[in-house]
Amino acid sequence: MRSVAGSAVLPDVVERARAGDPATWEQIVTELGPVIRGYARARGVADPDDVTQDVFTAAAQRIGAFQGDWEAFRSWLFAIAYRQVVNRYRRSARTDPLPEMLPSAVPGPEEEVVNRLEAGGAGAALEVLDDLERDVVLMRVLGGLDAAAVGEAIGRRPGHVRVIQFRAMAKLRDELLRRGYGGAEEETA
Amino acid sequence: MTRRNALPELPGGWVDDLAAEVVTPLETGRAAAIAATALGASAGGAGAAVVATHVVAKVIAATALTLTVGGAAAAVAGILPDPIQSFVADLVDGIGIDLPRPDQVLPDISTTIPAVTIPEIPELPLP
Repeated sequence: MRSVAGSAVLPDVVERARAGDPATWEQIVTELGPVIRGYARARGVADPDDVTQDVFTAAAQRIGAFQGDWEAFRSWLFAIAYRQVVNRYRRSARTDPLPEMLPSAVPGPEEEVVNRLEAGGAGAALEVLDDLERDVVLMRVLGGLDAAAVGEAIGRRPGHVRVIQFRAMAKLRDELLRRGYGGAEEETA
Repeated sequence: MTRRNALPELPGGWVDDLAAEVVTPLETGRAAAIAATALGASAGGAGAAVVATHVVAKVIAATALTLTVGGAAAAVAGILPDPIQSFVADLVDGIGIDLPRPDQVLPDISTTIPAVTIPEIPELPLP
């Protein structure tokens, strides 16, 4: 059994976590915390550290109802992270006040996207994807989840995940080529 | 930090750059703090939440039962406020239950018929 970080994870880690062993939880956070925070960061939430804390808090509260091994635990944690991210966007959509007047100096959403694309960075390529496509790509690339596990996390059938992934890959490949990724040396690698 | 990319068809360089950009190790002591907070919340919070949920559920159930029984008795006695009594009576009328209805106060209707003058129709000239 291998973790995301490449170190060995003890086979009974889920059992020990269920028993509330602090050292086990620290090990789990060390292993998966950076990936969960990276997923939240790449999804553009304002507070990725808070999301990370909330994910592990929710996991600790609900682990009594969880059934499965370490791999299933990872998928389950991403499912929690997905819901935390979606809920944050829903909350901010409900609570963000409307501006009293149209600000002329503040860039609009389209302009922000263009600015981010022009700013470069690997994550900027994700701007060509919609939210669901981004979730699928990030869970597969960062979390290493298979289509079935991603489907469980986002509440879709594996077949639907593959369709979303196919669409996302087409968009992403074009964008990455435009950005100079996937050149001849990578194709031969 | 190694990572398992499940989409090998994506350029590996981009996947590595993305991971380096967003997946950064937690600060020293941060993992322990997150774990402690999570366990603390689950130990105190979850138990309290379960108890609180049970108490709230009991209060809601008792309130709903009281309102249902009390409301039904008041409707049978015909002592609900007029609009509600009327609404409940209409509602149960459809299933064959006859409840008292509030006395209807009809507005005064004027019975005075204004005088009508019928214009005289001139006779049509004969051809």
